[in-house]
Amino acid sequence: MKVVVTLTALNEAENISDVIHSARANGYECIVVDDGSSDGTREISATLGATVIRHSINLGQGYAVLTSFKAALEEDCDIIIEMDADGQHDPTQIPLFVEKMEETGADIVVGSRILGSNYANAPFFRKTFLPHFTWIINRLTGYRMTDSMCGFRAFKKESLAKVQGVLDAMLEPQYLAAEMFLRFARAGLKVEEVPIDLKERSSGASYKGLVRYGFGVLKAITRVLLDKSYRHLR
Amino acid sequence: MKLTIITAFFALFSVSMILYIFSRIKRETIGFRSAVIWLSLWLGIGFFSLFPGLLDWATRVAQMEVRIFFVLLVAVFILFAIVFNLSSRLDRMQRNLERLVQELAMTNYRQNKN
Repeated sequence: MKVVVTLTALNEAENISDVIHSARANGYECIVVDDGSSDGTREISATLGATVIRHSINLGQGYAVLTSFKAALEEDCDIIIEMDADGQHDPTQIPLFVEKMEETGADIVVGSRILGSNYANAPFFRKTFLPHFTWIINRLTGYRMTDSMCGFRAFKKESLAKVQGVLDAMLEPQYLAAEMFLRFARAGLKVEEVPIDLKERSSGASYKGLVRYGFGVLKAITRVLLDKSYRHLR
Repeated sequence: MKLTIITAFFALFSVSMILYIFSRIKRETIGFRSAVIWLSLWLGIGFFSLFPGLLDWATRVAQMEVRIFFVLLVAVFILFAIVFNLSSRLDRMQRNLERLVQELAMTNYRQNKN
């Protein structure tokens, strides 16, 4: 199975080289969506042999992920891996996703930080709110995930291609995870999970404010549930 | 029509704003919709400045006791309407901008690929 790794990055010049090195050393092609960085992320990624797509201004991670999906769908591959460029996701764990997909025939395999061995060290807000958000999404979708917000995921290209129209219809791409699962569940895509271990960022800080993100997720869920195209999706 | 310093000031200011909007229409630096909104607003202010008696009549019709409350209520209503209109247009423009940036990124990607 041919795997393509997609990375979305905003000012990750200090972290991205390790991720690309590791991914390419394991034989994976890399697509980097540079979401308007100003620190040389694009140049570093291109030098390391990744295919770089650049947003001329910063749109936010959700939009970058959607762009990376569109690009990956045009590549010759079977599985599309979505992961963070900040070094928290380890490319050596990609085979876990591929094996799970082959074993179960799932359309999407999601990494679960909660099932991972180092979840005890997770920040307070993640530990407090993540299970609740995941519970809401599980109730609405019928999935049985433990971590719906993890950005380390694998998609079967064939399945993602089937719901390409859904990608264009996203109402709140900024809070992609919530909307994606709601719409993908409606489209009948099957989801499985694998435990992943999160590494500490080697430098810099995350751009996601958890409280604002939490409200955004709830807004995204509400908008999707009220959306006609979602209600008619089958 | 009883002209005081303040009503004369408002009337003159309204006329100058109307002339300014017309000059912007001529230079094509204002859209049709915005021009209509702002012209109506300044025409209204100028009109009520010159004929304050009409304001008393409108206040009575609205069953309000004090003229200034009526003016403030109308002003707040108009401002809310303008803010709502602007925020809706801003949302639409932002969405278009996001689509444009994504399209541009994908076009460059496809060009580099071939």
